[in-house]
Amino acid sequence: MCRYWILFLFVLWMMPIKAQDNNTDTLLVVNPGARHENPKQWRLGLQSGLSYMWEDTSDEESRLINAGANPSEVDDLYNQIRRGYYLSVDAHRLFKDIWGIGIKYSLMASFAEKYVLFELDDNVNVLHTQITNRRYVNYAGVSFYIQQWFKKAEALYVYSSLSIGYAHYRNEFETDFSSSYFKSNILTTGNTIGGSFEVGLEYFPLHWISIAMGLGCFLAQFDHVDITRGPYGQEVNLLESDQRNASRMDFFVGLRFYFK
Amino acid sequence: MKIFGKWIIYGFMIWVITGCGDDFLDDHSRQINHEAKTALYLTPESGYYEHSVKLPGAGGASYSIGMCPNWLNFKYMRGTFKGDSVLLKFTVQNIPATSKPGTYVSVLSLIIEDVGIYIQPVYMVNE
Repeated sequence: MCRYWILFLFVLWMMPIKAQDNNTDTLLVVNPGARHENPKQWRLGLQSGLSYMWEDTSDEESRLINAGANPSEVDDLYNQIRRGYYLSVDAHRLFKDIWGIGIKYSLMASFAEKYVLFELDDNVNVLHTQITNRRYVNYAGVSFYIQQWFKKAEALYVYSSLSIGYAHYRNEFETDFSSSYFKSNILTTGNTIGGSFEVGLEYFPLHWISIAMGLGCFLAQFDHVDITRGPYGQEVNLLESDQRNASRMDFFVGLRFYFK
Repeated sequence: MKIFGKWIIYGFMIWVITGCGDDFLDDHSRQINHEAKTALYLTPESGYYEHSVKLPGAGGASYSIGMCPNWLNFKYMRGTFKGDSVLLKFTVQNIPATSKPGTYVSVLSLIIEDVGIYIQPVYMVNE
C-alpha cells in the first residue's frame, strides 16, 4: 500500500515541473530577486526537526498489557516513542535554477523511557521495571527537487521535493530487570523501499544561502524483520496485517547552501 | 565555510555511530547480592508502615522497587539512599488473594544502582 502512495505522490509531484518548465522564461523576467541574478548549479541542504510516527503499535502494546502491564503506563510509553527527532542532509544538482536531482540521507530517532508496573500471573506479586525503547529509521535515496517564487520581487520561495530510496528500521527494546518475563533485550531490524515528500518555504537573506522550514511525509512499510533476543536471532516474514509501518510526519527547519 | 561543514558531518557521524550499538543485547542481568537477615512480618491491620533498609556502601545510590507483593502499596517506587539507608513507606492492604486466613510469603526486591539487587522476605499473616 505504501508503495502505491509513493508512486502517486511522484506522479502528482511531476505535474508542476512540466508546467513550470514551459513558463521558465516568463518567471525569470518577472522576478528581480537577488537569487536569480546569481543562478547556482548546486544546492546542499541540512535540516533538523521533530517527527511524529504513524506506526501502529497496538500489537506491541497488547503484548505488554497481556503480560500484566498497566495499560495507562503502556499507552504513555508508546506515545513517547511516536515523537522523535529528525535530521537530514541532501545535495542536488540544479537545472534551470528551478529543479534538481540529487541524493538525500535522513535519520529519525525516537526514545522512550518509562517505569511500568506488571501484575504477575500469580495475582500476588507485581513487577516494577524500567522499559527503554529506542527507534531509528535511516534512509538514503535519490531526490527530485523543484522550487518556485512564492511572492514576486521578494526572496521567498516555495519548494517541494520527492525522494525514493532504501530505508533501514531499528528498534531496541530494553528492560532494567531480568526476570522470567523479560529473559533478554530485543532488537528488531528491517529493510525496505521507502519514500518521502517534502514541501516548505525558503527565505534567501543572501543569494547563496537560504533558511528553510517545511513539512515532510515519510512512507515505509516493512514486510519482514530480523528479531534478535540476546544471542539468538531469527528472520520473520510478517503477514500483511502485521507489517511494520514506519511512516511519519516531519516538521523541520534548515539551511540551504547554493554553489556554482 | 569548509570547517563549518566538516564539523557538521563529524557531529552527525558520532550521533549515528553512538546511537546504534548492539551492547544492550548482552546479558546485563543483575545478581541478587544482598539479602535481609530477618523477614518482615505484616498483618492487614498494619496499615501505614515504615521500614528502614540499611546497606553499607549504598550511600547516595538511587533505587527502585523491582518486585513486591501487590498487597503492599508503596508511597514512592523510586528514590535515593541517604547515607547508607533508606526508609521505605508503604501501606498494607488486604486483597482477594490474601483474604483467607493464612500466612502469605513473598519478597520485596530493590534494584540499587551500582550495587545490585536487595531482597527482603515479607510475610503477611492474616488470622
